[in-house]
Amino acid sequence: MKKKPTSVLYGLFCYFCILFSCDFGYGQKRIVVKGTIVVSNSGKGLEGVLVQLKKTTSSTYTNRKGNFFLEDISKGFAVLELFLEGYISKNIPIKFKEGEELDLGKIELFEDNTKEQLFTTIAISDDELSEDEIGGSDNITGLLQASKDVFLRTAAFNFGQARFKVRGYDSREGTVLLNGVEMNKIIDGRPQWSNWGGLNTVLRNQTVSRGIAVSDNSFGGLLGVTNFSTRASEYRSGYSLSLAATNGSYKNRVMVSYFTGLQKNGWAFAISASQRSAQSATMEGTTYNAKAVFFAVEKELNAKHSLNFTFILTPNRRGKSSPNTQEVYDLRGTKYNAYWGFQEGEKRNSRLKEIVEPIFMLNHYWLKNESTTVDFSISYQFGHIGNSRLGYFNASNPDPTYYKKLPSYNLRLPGNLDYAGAFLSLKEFKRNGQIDWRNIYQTNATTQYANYYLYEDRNEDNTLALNTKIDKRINPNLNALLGISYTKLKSLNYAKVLDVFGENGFVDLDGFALGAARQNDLNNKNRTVLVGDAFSYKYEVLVSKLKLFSQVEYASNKTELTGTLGYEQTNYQRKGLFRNGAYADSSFGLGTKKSFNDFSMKGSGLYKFSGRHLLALNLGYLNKAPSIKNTFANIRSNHNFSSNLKSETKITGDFSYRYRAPGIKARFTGYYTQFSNAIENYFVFAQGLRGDASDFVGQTLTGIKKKHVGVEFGLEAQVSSSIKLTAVAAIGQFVYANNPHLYLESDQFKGVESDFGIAYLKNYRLGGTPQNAYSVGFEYRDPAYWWYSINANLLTHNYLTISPLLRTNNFFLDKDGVPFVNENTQNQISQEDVKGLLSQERFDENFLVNLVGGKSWKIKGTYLGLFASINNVLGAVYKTGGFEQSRKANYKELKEDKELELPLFGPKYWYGNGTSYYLILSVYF
Amino acid sequence: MGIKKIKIKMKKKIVIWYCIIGISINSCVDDRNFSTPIVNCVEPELEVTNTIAQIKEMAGFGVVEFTNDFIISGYVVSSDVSGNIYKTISIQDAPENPTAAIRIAIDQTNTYTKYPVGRKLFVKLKGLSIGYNRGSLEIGKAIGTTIERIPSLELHKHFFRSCEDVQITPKKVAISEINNNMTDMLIALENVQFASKELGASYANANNTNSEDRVVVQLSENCGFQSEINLRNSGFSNFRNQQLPEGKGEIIGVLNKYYSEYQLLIRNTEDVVFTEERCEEASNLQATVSFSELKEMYKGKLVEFGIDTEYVFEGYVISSDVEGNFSEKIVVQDAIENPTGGLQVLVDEELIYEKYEVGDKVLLKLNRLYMDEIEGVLTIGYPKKETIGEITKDDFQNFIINTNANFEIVPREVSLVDLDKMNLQNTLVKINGLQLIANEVGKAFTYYSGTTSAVRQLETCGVFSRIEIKTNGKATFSNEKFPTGNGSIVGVLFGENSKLQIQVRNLEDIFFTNPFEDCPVVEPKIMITEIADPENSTTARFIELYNAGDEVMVLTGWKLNKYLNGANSISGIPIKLTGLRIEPKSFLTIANVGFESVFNKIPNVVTTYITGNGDDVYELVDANGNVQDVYGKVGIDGTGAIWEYVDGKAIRKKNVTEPNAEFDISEWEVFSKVKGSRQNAPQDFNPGVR
Repeated sequence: MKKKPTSVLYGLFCYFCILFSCDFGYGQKRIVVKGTIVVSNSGKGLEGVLVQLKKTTSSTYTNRKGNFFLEDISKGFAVLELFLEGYISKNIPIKFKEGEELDLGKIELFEDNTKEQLFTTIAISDDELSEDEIGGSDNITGLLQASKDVFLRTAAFNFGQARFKVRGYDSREGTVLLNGVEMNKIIDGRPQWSNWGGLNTVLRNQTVSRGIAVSDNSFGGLLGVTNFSTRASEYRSGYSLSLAATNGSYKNRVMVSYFTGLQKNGWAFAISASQRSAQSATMEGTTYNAKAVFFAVEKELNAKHSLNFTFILTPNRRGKSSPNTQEVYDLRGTKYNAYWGFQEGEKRNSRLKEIVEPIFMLNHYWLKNESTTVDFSISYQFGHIGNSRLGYFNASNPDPTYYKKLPSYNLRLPGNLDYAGAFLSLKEFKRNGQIDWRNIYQTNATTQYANYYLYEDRNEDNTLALNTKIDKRINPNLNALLGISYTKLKSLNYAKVLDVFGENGFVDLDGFALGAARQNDLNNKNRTVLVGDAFSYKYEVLVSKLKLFSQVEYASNKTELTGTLGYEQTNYQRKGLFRNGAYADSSFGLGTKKSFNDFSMKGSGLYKFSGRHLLALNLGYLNKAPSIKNTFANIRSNHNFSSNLKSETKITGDFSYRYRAPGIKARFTGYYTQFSNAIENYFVFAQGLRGDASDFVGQTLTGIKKKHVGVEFGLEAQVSSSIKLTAVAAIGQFVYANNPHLYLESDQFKGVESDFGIAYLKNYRLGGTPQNAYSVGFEYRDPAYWWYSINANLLTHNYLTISPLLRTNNFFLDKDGVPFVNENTQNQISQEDVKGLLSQERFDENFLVNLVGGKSWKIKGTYLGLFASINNVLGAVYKTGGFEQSRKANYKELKEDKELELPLFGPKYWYGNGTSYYLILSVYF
Repeated sequence: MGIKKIKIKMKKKIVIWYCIIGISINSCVDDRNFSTPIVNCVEPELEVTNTIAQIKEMAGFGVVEFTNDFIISGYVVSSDVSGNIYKTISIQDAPENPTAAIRIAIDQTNTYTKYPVGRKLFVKLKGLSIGYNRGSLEIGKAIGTTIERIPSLELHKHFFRSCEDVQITPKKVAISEINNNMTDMLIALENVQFASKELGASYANANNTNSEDRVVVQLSENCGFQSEINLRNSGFSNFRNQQLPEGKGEIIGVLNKYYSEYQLLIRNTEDVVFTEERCEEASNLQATVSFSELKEMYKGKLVEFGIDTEYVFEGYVISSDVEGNFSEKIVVQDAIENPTGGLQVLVDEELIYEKYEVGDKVLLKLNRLYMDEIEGVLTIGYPKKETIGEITKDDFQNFIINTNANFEIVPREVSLVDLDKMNLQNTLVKINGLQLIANEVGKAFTYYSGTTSAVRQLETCGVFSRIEIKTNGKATFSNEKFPTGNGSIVGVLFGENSKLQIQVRNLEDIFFTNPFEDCPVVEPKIMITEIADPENSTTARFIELYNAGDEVMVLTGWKLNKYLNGANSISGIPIKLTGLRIEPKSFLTIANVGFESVFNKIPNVVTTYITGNGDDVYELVDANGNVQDVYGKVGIDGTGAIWEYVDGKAIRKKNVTEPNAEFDISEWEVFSKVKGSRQNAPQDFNPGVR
């Protein structure tokens, strides 16, 4: 059906009416007690506080702004009890008369620092990996850590270790803000957790909105918005020190902080620093070296104006671990990591990820009047992200798991099984099987030339962001917001030589190409590169982004309604600094500018039958420009855009029923989300293209439609004052909903040749997350300040990430366009033959038991806390993710490989950590 | 707050600040600063037990496994840096002037990063084997009866690097001196260049991974060809797409033997050091043999020019395969104008014109080639069965040297009537006054479709003889209509004199500017006018032929048959009259050997075939096999018949002016012993007179 333009206009008119305070007139209801509950140090409204009259059944919860309304209360004296986990409960005696309206105004709740709930969360978010490879195990749990919702808390603390993604969403669906400024990286749209990792104490002031529910700070994505506030005045004064030991991503952590709080002279200072380190963490050879420094200063100029300056520097460098084939895990165990080797007795990891991106931010808070606030901020971030790896030219692949080095290679010819060779390879791999640094040095010394070198793919972003937000309360029930932000980014990307292992350097050539295409930079042919030089590729992306968002909220004691509109303009332009030999005409200088204009809207409604029963509905229609990574088909080599480039459209809706009674909290939600016009772009080496070609190709999958549908359930039952039971379930189905289009781009496949047609993906499951998860928990909290909890979790329906290339016509057609022949039947291959090879692997379900406990003491004004957790007590071994290799890209090649007892190019997997512990000792004074 | 408390608090603060400062400065995880491995060399303590030469002598039939603790040493001369040499290492026993070398097969790539050229290597042979692999000795690991590569993971048991690293001086040799002992040595070939046919090619191919052999030619001081060797280039080498250099100079490489043939493998393109200008062979070649000398050499049997000959024939290309009418051959004549003859050279090549155009002066090196007569013309090529076949694609340019000088060839103008006596085969001629014979008008060069070759008959009005024009069914114009007019045709002449054919290069060779003429049908009127069997001389027997018509008759293809003593089939080999002609109202005498001395007159043909002794039949047959004239009845012995001419003669009556295919005694006057009218020579006979 075609919408009439007039009705849209009318809708917009109404919307702006609300925005610009056409007063609706609010029907008076008999409110007996009302008030606003705020956090003690920040003065921010606190949502979800249980407000109840003792010895009655009258109770309610505060809304997002911290407001509560209680009515129909019998006259006389009563005690109003305020309760929220993580805060010190408060009892307020009140006295009131019939028909009287009692406004309690602002009531402060204090944080309960004796509970170390947050530490577990941080253990997980530190783990956050954002591998660039296919099916990379990026994690979104960081987004959920501060949630008060039992479902999301369980998802973060208990499911997170198995790479559970809420509703199957990628982490780019979550928006992370620092004082209202968006921190998601423009390159891939994902929040870069390392940029504030280790600053747990100072990033405790968070505002979290989940899903597409309303946020005061940004339009947000499907996973919601997390805003960290770093106003120096909001920190409670004092010193704190904590020491942690773990066997997870790192071994040790030291964290110290000192806050002044708002002093009488109007100044507030906050300083915090931490260090996390490991020479080798859970996975072999994964070093961890992270420091964090935080500094914030606020000056309250007068009652209306306040300025806050924040500086964050979190240099983080850690060794990565490799995904491996099952053959490798079977030989070396699930802790095996191919990226390291001994160098002169020390473990050296060849793949380090380093992030140093300091943030400078200035915020201006202006309380214009009782009902209007204006926030303005300017932020600048620079620095670099480097991912190192070994490069080699005209020398043997240094990867110890290179397929020719494994026993399977000796057994690849069914008619000529070389058992002797396989035995030698097996012995060699089991005994040595790591990077042979000595050989690397020796080789370079032998050839007097850097056949081996260490380099990093380096990204240097310079981001300037301006942000302003006007928040106006039109009347007690109506609130309007307008936010504008402008971001300018210059992203420089190149490969940088880090080490040439003793030798002179090497010539910057593409070893796999011929002729002029060998030159990575035609402007500087046959250039010898040395440590510190750029080589292989070098380009900048110039980005500007303008965002507008406006929101109207209406709240009454029964109903809350919100409407939000968003507009985003995105401009991308590539500037090549190298003239690539294979793309002499389309690689150097400025490319064409690409602009996207995207409108989004969402709305939500909440209806309270009573304080106990609530119905909530959220609907959204979102458009988003593709990330830089997906906009360009082969950004390292040329200006070319991905084919069928369009903004991604998301249509989403969820419906929840919530039950909240003293002692019991429950939520049941059903959701449905459809992504369309999505683009995915990544690189693979494939054999069997167009019959028999092989090449390193950029794959772009365009026009992807995905469907995420499911239900969520969470229940929290306070059985007694010290015992709490929880139950959580997530049952979802995340699938490809259409057959998108696949393009390959390389020197060989250009223009028409790059079109590989339709990829038959419909109804394949999306990989990278368990689609179903269940949890039950028991918590005991002793009045003597100690507590423990135990959780049992079952995660199922986690699938292998499939390779789209294997699902194109290329898979079953020979070079001449005729299907391959089944060697057994001598007939053309049938649908059955193909299906057998392309069925999607479902990982075994896994059962995880986690234990958490803690105790706290107060000794003469000093708080001492001890917290301990053991994850995966039973030591379950399980796959958290994996991806199909595209190397055997057609029926013939794949069949040959799959029929082997030990396939050479089987899927690569990640395994979960085994049993891990976490121990924290903290002191406050 | 007491002082003590304050102190405690102070202490705590100090701890905190110490930590803050400490974190900012301190770094306790070392993930980037590593001590660099010291790459030093320790000389292995190994004693060489055998020389390479001794080890090679141990090889016998099949694979010989070393069971003793033999240790050899050698200097690495091969390198897989470019991927041209694959999974083998060649070592020789000295850096300079080596006496022996051997190849070792190992299952490892990028060996140059470990065993670079010049590195001394000890090899413990126990457990390894030696044997022949594709024609040359190799050390490897025996699997059954074959030599396989030593597994890379076992290399450390056999290979020990010495610290000695030397400069290898390649051994300078002439290609002709190469012998078995030199395989796997590093050799240098001086004064070499790539064969001209290789120019423009790359070492191998840019778009596939097929290996290629490129011919390297070694030249004498004055650019003469001395010998050649294949340069073997792997399709996986990183220089596979690079153009071969055009100059001349030195090539260094590892000598390899592939079955019976030697080949050279370069390590990378730096091994090809061409610093001089290319030498063009043609400028130093001189013609040494003329056409007439070649024709003289041909005695009806295959001629082998041999290896050491210095026969060079100079010629000019007159054929062309642009339009596909000539294929797989080049015809050259010995002069630009008025040639004395020409040769055709058979070559196995589809696009000859790209290398040899009409008018190009070429030098034909006959050394190692063969000559025979095919289709009536002298033909050069490789031997094939009993005769000549094409020179292979790879070789022909070594024999046919194009000087690249081009001349305009002037075809010899001739008329059809004179053609048969001129011996112009393999030369370019222009025949005037030609047109299709009447019943071929409207036909195509060959047929209107298909690729079958065909001939068309051409004639000149008033001339009885004809010539055939041959068209290759694959010529671009073969399905086109043959022009109908009348004019001249330029083409290459071939075939026996009795049946000449012409072949054109393209349609422009046919100049039909005049309209087609309706030629009056020329009826040959050649008749037997006298048969002589003189009583006094059997060797003076003769037959007289007479041209009763008004046109010169060329007797190409005509024959005179005889049937002895009532035979039903032709007796003996009939006389071919090709090459003979009779002017109008003139005679031709075919006589036995005594005729000249008896009659004191030279007959036109002397043959012992004329033996008719009165009862034998003579028959005159034209080129088409039709009987033109006959004397006597075939199948009947004339003894006692009315036409018996024993010891006498038969004379055609004067009033008979046409031949008659049916014998009619009334046309004849017969004298014979039987009739009592004996005749004696010379007085009773009158040859050449009617």
